[in-house]
Amino acid sequence: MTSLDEAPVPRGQLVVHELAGEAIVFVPESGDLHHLDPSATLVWKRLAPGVPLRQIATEIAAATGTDAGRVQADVLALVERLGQIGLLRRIGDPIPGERTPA
Amino acid sequence: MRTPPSPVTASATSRPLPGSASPGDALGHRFHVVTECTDPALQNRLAAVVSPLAADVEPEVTYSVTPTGSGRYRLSCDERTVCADRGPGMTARFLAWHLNRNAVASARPQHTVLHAAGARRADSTVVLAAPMGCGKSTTVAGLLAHGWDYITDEAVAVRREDLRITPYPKALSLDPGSWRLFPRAKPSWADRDDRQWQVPAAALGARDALEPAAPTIVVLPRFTGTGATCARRVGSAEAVTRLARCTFGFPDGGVDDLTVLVRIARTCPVYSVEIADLASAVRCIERLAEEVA
Repeated sequence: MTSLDEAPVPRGQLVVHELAGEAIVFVPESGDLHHLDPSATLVWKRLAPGVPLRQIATEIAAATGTDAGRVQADVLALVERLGQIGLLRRIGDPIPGERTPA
Repeated sequence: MRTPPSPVTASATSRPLPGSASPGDALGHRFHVVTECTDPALQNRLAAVVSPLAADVEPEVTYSVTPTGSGRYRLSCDERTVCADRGPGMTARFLAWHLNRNAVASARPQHTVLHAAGARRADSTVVLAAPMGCGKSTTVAGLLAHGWDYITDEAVAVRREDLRITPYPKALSLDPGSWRLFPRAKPSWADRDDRQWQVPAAALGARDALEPAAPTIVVLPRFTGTGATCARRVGSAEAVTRLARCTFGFPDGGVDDLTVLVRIARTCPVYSVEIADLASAVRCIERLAEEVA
């Protein structure tokens, strides 16, 4: 269960292209190709270390004039989905391909 | 260097293979076909496949066709069997299939290869990208009958360095559902046992597009056969994902192929076109191409 206090970030080794406000995310190791719609792309571009989801939702709500509670719910659902398909890592998660300490 | 197209007609496809060896070039797959068979039913069908790709090249691969008895044949590629004990029509289809497969493999190091048809007129280059059975060959044949030049009906090879398409003017493969639309393309040798016509573009009154050119419009066709033909502009990101599904070897080509698809989606409009009938599809695509131009 994702919380608004978390600050997940895009996992490494992704190839991302933005076209007309929509993102294409390619995972070279699996060959998976994902298409993010404009709303998802808006969130995706704000994911960064130390930036909690609550802050991202607040910024988007302010920028779009949308109800903050609804944006928070949408952001959580999206991040949950992005996590399920393996596009995110939480700070502290091992980075794919990185050797973990013995 | 591809030789200039000769004025091949449907009836001219009936001519036998020139001598016992006919060199050709399929996107860099340089081959020749050797047969000692004199059966016109076989020779005509092989010639229909090979003649559009005829080129003055040094062949690197030898296809040989040998009789196995009772009007049946074995097709081998460098002594490896491609098919055995098949009639003339199926032997020719296996040759066409094997040439396609090797053409794509040959092109991929320098190209991103789309499962697509292509045609060119003036400054417009249209790419029709779709999986098998969506109407690519029929639609491009319709464009050729309306004065467009032929690029291919199977594999659009986009050069990664400049997005230009290397022509692959193989014979069009027309399935029975299309035959009534192009009666003049019927090969003189066709009979009731043929399940596909191999038709040179010239048989539709078209020329080959000899010069590489970048696509100016991409169409994602889907034959519905009902209602009205309609077009919808596809967003660039959706276009990339849909073109990826039509890219030979994706995702093995990885980032290189993806980069090409992104560049195509950024530089030319992409339309999804639901096709009710050929005539309206050709009108629709021509209108879209004119708007882009």
